[in-house]
Amino acid sequence: MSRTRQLMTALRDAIGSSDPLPPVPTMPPIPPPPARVYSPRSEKSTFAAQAARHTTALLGIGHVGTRYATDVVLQFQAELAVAHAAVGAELPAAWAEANGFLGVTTRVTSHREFLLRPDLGRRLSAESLAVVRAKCTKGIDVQLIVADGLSAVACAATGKQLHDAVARACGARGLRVGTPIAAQFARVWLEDEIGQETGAKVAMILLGERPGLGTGDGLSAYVVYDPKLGKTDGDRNMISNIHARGTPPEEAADRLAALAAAMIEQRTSGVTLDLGRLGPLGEAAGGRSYRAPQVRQRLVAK
Amino acid sequence: MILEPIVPTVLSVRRLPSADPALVAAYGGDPARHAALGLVTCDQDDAMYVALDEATKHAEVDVIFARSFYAGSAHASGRLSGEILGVLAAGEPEAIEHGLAALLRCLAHDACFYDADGKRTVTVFPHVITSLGEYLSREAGLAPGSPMAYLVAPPIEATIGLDAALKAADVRAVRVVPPPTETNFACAWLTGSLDACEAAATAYAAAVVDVAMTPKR
Repeated sequence: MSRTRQLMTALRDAIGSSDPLPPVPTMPPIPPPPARVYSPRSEKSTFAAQAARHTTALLGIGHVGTRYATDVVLQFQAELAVAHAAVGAELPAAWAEANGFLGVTTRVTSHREFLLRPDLGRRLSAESLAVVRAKCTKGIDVQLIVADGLSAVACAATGKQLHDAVARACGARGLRVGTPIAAQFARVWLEDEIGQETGAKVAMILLGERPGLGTGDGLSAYVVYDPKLGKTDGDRNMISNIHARGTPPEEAADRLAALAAAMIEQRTSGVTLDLGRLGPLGEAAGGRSYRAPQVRQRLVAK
Repeated sequence: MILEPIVPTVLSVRRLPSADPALVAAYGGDPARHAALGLVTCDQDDAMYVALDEATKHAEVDVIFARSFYAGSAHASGRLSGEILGVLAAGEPEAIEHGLAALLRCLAHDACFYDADGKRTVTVFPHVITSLGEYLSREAGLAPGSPMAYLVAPPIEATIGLDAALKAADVRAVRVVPPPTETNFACAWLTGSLDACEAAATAYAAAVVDVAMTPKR
């Protein structure tokens, strides 16, 4: 390197004008974020569309950008609200007497306690136990109990209808039905104590089931042979989703009567009950045959 | 960036292996000794003077002609004119080749103006010749091999710079050319020890930069 250039480089450093860093490149102007309007994209997958026809699960709902479409979100929120409302509802005080039932209560004293203490909902209160012993018909074939369970809405809506249908169906099969009982703050296992007290061969409780998305009005029926305290869930047969969009009450009543008759014939219930001997009705009452899918109820406008 | 080298542009390089004696005589040569010529134009006259002197150190050549053009390379008479025409002369074309090689190497890597204000609107030529060749030693009246500071800048900058250079080190003014010259710059040749010449050139450049940055004070 030439001597003069070295001198000038040293002088430049001494003046302090050396540029250790390259000059900052000029950046292109950054455009403002796009104000894009996403239009809903419907699901293109035929597999998802076909699968969605067989379930109420959220399949094939499409997307808007990276999110759900607004109507999907609103539908979800509405269905959740339906479930919350059903759990929070209580049976009217005089509902049992107004519908011709013998009203009983459990050891639960409040709705909040009912939700927090399932064990108390499985036993009759002392007064109700006395009422059952005093007023109920004993030694019958089928003891029917209508109860609120986790959805008083469902019980108040179709409990009476289902009870009457089951009673008729049992009568048609020659089964003697006991005094109709309506229980408040009741869990499934309450049928064990009531059936034990009434000496029924079969106890059947029809109660509002735990609400799912959009189904706050579903009833379940649990049937047990030789009811007594200490029976487990393995001893029970059940039908769920008894409502207009699932299994209609009239159809469910036929199946339940068939179940009760089979239990009395086979002298057992639960996992040991042979549903194969019931024929087509038995299959429908608990078998693994195909069932028509439920229809999703539209709660918001699309 | 200030004091960045502004490398001179060589605009033309031509040889005349056997020039007409009348031409050689007209350009200041001796037709008896100078048959071959090498001609170069460049856009920096002072860098060319230094480079011509450099050529005389590397080959048996004489500088018979070197003249700056009026008003500088920004107002040249043609695309190839630049600021200066330099002519090397020798008896044999081979010596011209060696001389031209040294000349072009000096222009490319050594002698050049420097940017004094970061915008190339003020330039300075604070060159230190460590060892004078035959050409400039004859022009300066110094012994060949002595060091010299070759200082060029525009009029006001050169005046301030020369004062700073003379005060910065133990140097002696060999030749001072006040403005205007052909290119309207001002020039000064200083001599002394090599260290003194370097200190003088550095002070000159610093003063020129200072004037360029603060012209009114």
